[in-house]
Amino acid sequence: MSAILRDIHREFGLKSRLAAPLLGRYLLMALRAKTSASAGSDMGAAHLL
Amino acid sequence: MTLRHQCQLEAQMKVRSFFVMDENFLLQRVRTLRLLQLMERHNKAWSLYVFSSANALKSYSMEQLVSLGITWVWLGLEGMAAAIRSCATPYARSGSRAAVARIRVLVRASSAWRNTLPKTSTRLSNTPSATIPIPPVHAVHADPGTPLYAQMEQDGVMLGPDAISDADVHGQYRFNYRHPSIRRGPRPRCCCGRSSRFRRQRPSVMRIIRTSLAGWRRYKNHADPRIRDRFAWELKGYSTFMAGALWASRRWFRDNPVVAER
Repeated sequence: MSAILRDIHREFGLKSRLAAPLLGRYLLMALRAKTSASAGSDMGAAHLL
Repeated sequence: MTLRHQCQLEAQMKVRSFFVMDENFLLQRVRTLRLLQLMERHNKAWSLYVFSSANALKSYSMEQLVSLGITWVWLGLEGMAAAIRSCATPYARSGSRAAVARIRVLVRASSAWRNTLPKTSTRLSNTPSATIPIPPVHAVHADPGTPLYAQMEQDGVMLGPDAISDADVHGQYRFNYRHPSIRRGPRPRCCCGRSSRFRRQRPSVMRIIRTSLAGWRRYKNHADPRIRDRFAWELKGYSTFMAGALWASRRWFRDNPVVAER
């Protein structure tokens, strides 16, 4: 993932360098919230992958 | 469907990607090449998602596949274990071809699974496909409305809707039927692709991003503006949303440095 992200930064420059941590933090929070919510069910986070 | 209908759909629904629900689409070479001719004449940079066999895929040149806008290919592997093994070579060859043309390939094995042992899936995962940069996703299920589903329902092996989550419609976590060789519950590790193949290849979505990015790099300066336009369109959102998704994924998988760093 680091390698692909570096490729994206190389391709799109400043725009992606700014967007990645901003949107990434939001997405990571959403993913963690979703995982916590589904922790009770036997599906867990398997379907998110 | 005629080109005129497709143009109407494009205008009315404001879309430019089409899932061709004709499993013989690439087999009908004359019709397909005629479509390509018309797309070129009318400057249509569509993305087509198609079903195909390995042999149908390799009957086209890479330039033809790219010009047609073949973006996703659902490659079917059906039959018993021996048939799967015999498919491995053309599958790998067509997969390599697709990888060069930067087409995303989903491998679908369906009816084979019901009567084969779990080790078949390990064998499939270990075909050369596992080393090419396309996502082999084994969607193992029978869809409602298909003859296979009807047959399995008649045999009493289908699970009820309460046992299967809507989010797991493709059976990545659990089969939607009782497999004679697999205990009830989540699929064994060899089937769900989260063991050695997962450690080697990363999640499917990440591989899709890599394939799309490689397609853009390869074709962004193509002589045909239609092709340049399609690859640019397919990368919309990559500089923002996808960059964010990758950033988040890297954090998510930080306890798996092999996946996080590749």
